[in-house]
Amino acid sequence: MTPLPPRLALSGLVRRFPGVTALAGVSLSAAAGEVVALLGENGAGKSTLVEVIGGGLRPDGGTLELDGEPYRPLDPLDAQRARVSVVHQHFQLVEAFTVGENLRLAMKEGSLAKWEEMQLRLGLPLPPLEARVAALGVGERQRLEIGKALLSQPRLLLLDEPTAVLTPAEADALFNAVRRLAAEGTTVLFITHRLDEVRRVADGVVVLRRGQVVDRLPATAEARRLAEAMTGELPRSAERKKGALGDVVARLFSVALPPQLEPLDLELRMGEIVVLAGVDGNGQAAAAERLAGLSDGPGEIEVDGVRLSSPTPSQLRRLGVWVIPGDRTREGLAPSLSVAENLILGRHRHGAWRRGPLLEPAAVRVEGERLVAEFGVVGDAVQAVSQLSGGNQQKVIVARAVSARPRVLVAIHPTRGLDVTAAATVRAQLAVAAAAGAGVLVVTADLEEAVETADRILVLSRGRVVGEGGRGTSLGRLARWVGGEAA
Amino acid sequence: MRRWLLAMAVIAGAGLVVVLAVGADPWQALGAALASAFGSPVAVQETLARTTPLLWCGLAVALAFRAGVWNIGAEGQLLAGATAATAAVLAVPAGPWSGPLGLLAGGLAGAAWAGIAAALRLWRGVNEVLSTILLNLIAVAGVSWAVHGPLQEAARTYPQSDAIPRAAWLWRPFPPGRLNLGFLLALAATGLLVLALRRTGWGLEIRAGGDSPETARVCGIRVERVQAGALVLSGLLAGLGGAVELTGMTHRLFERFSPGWGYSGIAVALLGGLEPVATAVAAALFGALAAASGGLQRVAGVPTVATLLIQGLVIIVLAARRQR
Repeated sequence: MTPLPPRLALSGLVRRFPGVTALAGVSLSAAAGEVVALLGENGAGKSTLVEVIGGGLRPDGGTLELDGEPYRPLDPLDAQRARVSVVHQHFQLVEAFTVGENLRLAMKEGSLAKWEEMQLRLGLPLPPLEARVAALGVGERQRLEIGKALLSQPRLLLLDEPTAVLTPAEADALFNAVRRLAAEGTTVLFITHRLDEVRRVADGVVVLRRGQVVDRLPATAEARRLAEAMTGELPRSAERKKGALGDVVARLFSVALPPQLEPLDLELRMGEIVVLAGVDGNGQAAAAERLAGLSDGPGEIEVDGVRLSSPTPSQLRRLGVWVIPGDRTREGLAPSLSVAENLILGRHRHGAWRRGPLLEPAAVRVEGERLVAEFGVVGDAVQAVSQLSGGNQQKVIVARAVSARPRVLVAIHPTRGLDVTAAATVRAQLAVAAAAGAGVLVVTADLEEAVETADRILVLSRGRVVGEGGRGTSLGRLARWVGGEAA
Repeated sequence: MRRWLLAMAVIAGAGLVVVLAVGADPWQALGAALASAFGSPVAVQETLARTTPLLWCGLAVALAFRAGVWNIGAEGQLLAGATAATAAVLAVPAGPWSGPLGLLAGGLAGAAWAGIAAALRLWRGVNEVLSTILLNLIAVAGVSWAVHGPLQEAARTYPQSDAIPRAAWLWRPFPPGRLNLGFLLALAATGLLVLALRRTGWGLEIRAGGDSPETARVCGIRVERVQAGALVLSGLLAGLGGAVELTGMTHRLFERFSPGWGYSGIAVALLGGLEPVATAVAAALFGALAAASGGLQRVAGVPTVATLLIQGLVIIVLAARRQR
């Protein structure tokens, strides 16, 4: 008897973009029922690889095989017909529709009766069919996307950073589901940056660097070794000196937060980093967006003694409130503008690049090149920002906000989906802003990040503060608060 | 580049079909078309004169679209400009100020006409596609009313205005060719628009707002106002186009003053990729087509409306192409 062909076999896969070779000959295989983690720094080619397998991009060279048969998807729908499903890092949901309506859009036939049953089978809490997507938090949307992908009973499931927005408990539930799927014979290929996840859920690890497979390791490999394979060097964690805190620079007064609309009061001092933690959709992002002027509602905002009830973003930017938005592709960047233009956006009327009514392109470029170098953006100041990889795009957004010398800096999921090095850069920049006297408000679902970054950690559950900690608070205690236990 | 080849292919293909359909000899028709667009200095001037209103409208559309405002109303704004220019020039005793006065009145009227849609969008959230299209209909009816009523010629014979005094006519450098100052002004406007979009903070706001309004808003740009401003300015350009056509070419207002320049302007701007300079080249291409249509009718018996048909096809093909 001949051995079964692998579920997925890639050979010499090449994909080029203008100026970049994202995949430079990727070969790998995965057996039926195997869970493979795809590790790599931002820009290593992980997302491109998933897109190519999922039919979103055509390869420029190389071959793909599924269960020994040639596989060359024309588009995502074609891939779905071959029972290959992708859960993208960026959600593909219609906000105005309910969960059920979104599912109907995605599946051409069949019934939704499976939805409840799937939830039981996989132990994954899925949002109810009648819930409107606009009202769901990021974590819930992610589970909806995963559930959507599973409805077609894929033989190959691709997950692009599925846990980036999940709390530890949510991530655990997802991993259990992944293991059960694997036991049923589904092959799972998932992108991650978290080394601990690799060991918990994967059978094997494929490490990508600059578009090539540099290593294939068992999941039991040492974390150090994995990190080394990824970056070619060992990462250092950023250490921050605790500075003296200044006066209160911003306040929230009785700001009502969804889902329960409990009024929240919050003070932010100069030089202080306050982290809002908790399961997504419990009011953290809502509070931060309120302070940034991105949403409106009851309550008031005070910045530097100026009290406002419904401030607009432009009012707040003038008061020195800057934001690193959570939805970076939609709210963070103007994709067809250059990197340099994106970097000066919002400061374009003030800087050294003004010559009367004109902008001096050379000076804009110099500023762009300065920030590109300072923030370690891999790219060129004059290229369109859409040509950068996700991590480098986020560095541009962070650079813009930090270099504006904010009084208040609001950062919503600032390191979501970034590799260890890029995430460390971003965290270090938040610390730089605080050291320069800014009050920094960070929203994150990553408790380790919270402990590493914060002067003060507020855990929100259903719009209420259920626990307040600091750098010394143990992860276990934070996790219990996040789980809904009151302090 | 492929966009241009496609447009040229559509023009050649559709032109050939039309020529064959009316039973003309294709080579003779081609010769006639080229001769009346480029065959002599006067013909070249005619091409540029026909380019002028297309360029003004193309610039207007390009500016609005770049800002993310879908101004379909260049037609109405052009008519508002032409009407206001006529009224202003006829209302004031003739003198060296007549020409500038006509242009000023036309530009302001175009801006005001677009301003209605801008205000509705800014304060009432009315979709500008809808409002500008409806304002086009009103403008067409308004011109008709004006040339049957308050602006009708003194003789009260035809639905048209009196000719404006010679003092108000735009300078024609090489008579008898019809090339006039309006074309040079349009070139100047092209240069200014390039400068404004590329080299000013306002231009950056326009481009950022058109590219990603959410991002622009997050960065503290008052996107809605910037977009409303772009729409008003777009109307100014289209209104100037109307005033220029009136004072430089027709010298009087009449019903069906515009053969649809405002709509052709959309095709011109799209063919030009919303870049001012490329828009000027696209306008010249359509201008040559318009100039050629005269020769085609005289020599080959191809009706001039065929050029409108070809322009329409170009729009549809370009629109179909831009979806991916």
